[in-house]
Amino acid sequence: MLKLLGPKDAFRMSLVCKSWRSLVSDHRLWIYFLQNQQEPWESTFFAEANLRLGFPIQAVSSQLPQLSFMNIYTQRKQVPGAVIIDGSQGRWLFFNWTGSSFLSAFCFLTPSRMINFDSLYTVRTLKEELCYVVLDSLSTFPLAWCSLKKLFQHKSRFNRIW
Amino acid sequence: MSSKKKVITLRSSDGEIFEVEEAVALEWLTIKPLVESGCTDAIPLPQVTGNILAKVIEYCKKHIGASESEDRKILYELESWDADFIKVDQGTLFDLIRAADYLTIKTLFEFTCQTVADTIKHKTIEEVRHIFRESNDFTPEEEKEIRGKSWWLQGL
Repeated sequence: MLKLLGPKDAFRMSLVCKSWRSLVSDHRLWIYFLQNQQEPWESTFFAEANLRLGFPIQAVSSQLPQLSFMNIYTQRKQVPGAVIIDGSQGRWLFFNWTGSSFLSAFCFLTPSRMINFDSLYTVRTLKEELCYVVLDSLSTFPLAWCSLKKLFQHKSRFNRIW
Repeated sequence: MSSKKKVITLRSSDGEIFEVEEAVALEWLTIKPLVESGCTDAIPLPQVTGNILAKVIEYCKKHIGASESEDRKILYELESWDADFIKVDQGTLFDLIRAADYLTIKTLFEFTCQTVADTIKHKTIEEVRHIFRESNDFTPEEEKEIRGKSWWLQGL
């Protein structure tokens, strides 16, 4: 029934009571919603399950229970194609603009500005403070720096350049 | 009911006996193996009461064959028949969902769930609590926390 409600109303129902909240936070429900989006599920899953945990890429199975697909869904609704990653040198933000290929751009805060990215508000208000690294493989970085605003403005061009 | 068609006997939780055509019973996946095995005894359905079973049978008889029809007129009639069928009190609606789930009747299950989903969609949280007889067991802090996370929903 929650599936039939769609993500927004399903989420709203977590306000009814505690038992409903636990029903709503069921992984299978949000995986279903994530799978029924434009972005390929494989890409979402790879980004969230592997990249979120930072370097080196971890075995997925043991880490899965820590993921909340409901949170992933809501975060992705705000910044489409983004995933927040804990990196070893700070907090990492991953953008997946190319859809099917996972690695488009990484951004991170300079070590002196390490901040917990629990809320994407933080990311947005801090955007001018962010530094950006672009990767084409997980082992080689950093390659470039840029401001997020510019990055958004020149998203398409940016993809071509890199 | 045509005497030539094979008939399956069902017994509700309150002991009522129902007869349905085999074709109807075969759509109920829970009892399908029993029907296929040629069981001639009354099949006990201890989780479904007589009045609900009657509704379930009514729905399935109407839908058998008709759902797959491509005739627009038939489909339109079926739709308005469904709309009348589902004008039941809430308790009955929930009983129908439980029965459809228990008997594994996909069409009825989807239809009844969709009906509830459509109802909830336009209700406030307070109204939903009332419908499902749930009470708000969140502390004000917990509620605030959830509302804080729901900023991506417009107009919550």
